Amino acid sequence: MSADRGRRIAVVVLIVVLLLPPLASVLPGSPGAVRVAGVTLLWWYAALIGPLAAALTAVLSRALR
Amino acid sequence: MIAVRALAAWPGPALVAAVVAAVAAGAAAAPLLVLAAAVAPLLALLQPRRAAAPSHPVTLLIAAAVATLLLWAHLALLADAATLLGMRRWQGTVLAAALALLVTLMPGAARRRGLLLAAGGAALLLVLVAAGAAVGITPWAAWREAAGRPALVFSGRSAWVTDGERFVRRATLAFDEAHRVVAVTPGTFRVIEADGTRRVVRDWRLAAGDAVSLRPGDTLTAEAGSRLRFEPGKHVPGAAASGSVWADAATRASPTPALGMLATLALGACALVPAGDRRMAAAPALSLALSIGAASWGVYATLAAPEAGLAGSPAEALLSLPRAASRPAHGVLVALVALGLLALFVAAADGLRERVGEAAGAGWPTVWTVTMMTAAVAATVPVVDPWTPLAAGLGLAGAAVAAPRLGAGNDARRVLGWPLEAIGALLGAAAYAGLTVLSARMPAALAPLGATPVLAAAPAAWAVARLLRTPR
Repeated sequence: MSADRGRRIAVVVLIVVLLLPPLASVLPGSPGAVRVAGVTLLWWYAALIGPLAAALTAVLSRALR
Repeated sequence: MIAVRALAAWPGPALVAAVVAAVAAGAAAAPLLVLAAAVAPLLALLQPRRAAAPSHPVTLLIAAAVATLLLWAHLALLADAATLLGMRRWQGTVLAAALALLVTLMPGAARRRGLLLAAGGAALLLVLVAAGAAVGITPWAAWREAAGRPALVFSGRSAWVTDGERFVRRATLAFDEAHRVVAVTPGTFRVIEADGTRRVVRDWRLAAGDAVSLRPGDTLTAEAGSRLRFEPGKHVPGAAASGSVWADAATRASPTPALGMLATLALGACALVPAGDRRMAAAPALSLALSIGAASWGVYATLAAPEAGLAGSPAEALLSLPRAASRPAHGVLVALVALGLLALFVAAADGLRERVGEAAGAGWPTVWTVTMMTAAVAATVPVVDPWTPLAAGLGLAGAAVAAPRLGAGNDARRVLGWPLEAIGALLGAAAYAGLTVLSARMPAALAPLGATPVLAAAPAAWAVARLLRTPR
């Protein structure tokens, strides 16, 4: 895979990471309000899972360059 | 360019404080703000590398306007912090602006930028760890505890109860239970009493120690600089009704304002943070530290001081966390927070200085000095909260810097003697300013565009640069 293609894929992944919470908020059943270990899924995602996924994507994209 | 240096313009004290204050207050946008603050700079680092834009008066004017707005936001935050620490507003502004000018005008400033960002971040991280140890629970356990509170009330240890605290800017407080409020300093307070369907407006001129009794449904307006003392055990006016309301507010956020905020932060980051190279190992770690650190800080702050938003400044949420520690350590931690914010400001200022320098060319020291002085004067006015110039600066940067740059790509073509990027920048800035001015007169259906003009201004600027670039 070319470096530029890797970079483009990483950009798309990061945009998806950012757009997931607003998209989840219009889904029926409020999946963001589900609690895991006492904390809502939305907060786990915003503070930990989303940034971690973004960081891993950035690292992988850089490794491909 | 190493990652720390590249990211320096991004966080800055105003953004860090805005994120922490939103988490502490349980704002609907809080989780998205945490996420966007962490992910947006990584997105910016992944931009394609491109040649420097040709200098043009329009791009210089926009770069200076963006820098002024962002510096204003950071200086306003530091001035708020100075006020809360008992100093005068202008003292905090002048001290921070003078220090930033001194550091950024000295040769080799770029080399010190990364060090300042690391030092500021480390100071705040140290305070967070110390406060977390004092509270004695993990951030997620603190979140659970905060969400389980039956009501958000003043504790007996709160400075708003013991000595009384100062309002940084004019605030109107709505009371939902009977409350006796004591003036610590003389002042005039407007009380609007709810008498059935009738509203009775009374202006109370209180001397130090005088009290005013409020009933459920009443509102009290306190001017900036006035100090009040509240009763322990009473609900914090304006705060969430309970822990569950605090926890669930974010899950009911409306998607349109959320998209506006995402666009503002993502495009703003693309304008401020340069494209990265291979040596960017620290960037993902920094962004992760920002999201986890800011979210944890906000959760600990709401647990230690649910009244942290009362003074009307996001700086209060940052300064309230050291209260979780015992008395001698408290002063040291407050000093560390102040020094950490100052270091983050100087690092952010140097990042902005580089952006202004790219647009100004050889005359950058004069442009930069005027920019800093304008921002310092604006920040002495307490009426405007730091978020307003921060959002405006990021939005303008997104619409008039990032969008036309992405649209023009590496095309160095000129149209009527103007670089493509300058044409897109002019249109983006004009659309952004026009939508901002007309926002109050817009019909309800277009209100989101008035609230976040970048949603319309950025696509317009991108489209114009892109259309002109396409060979005919």
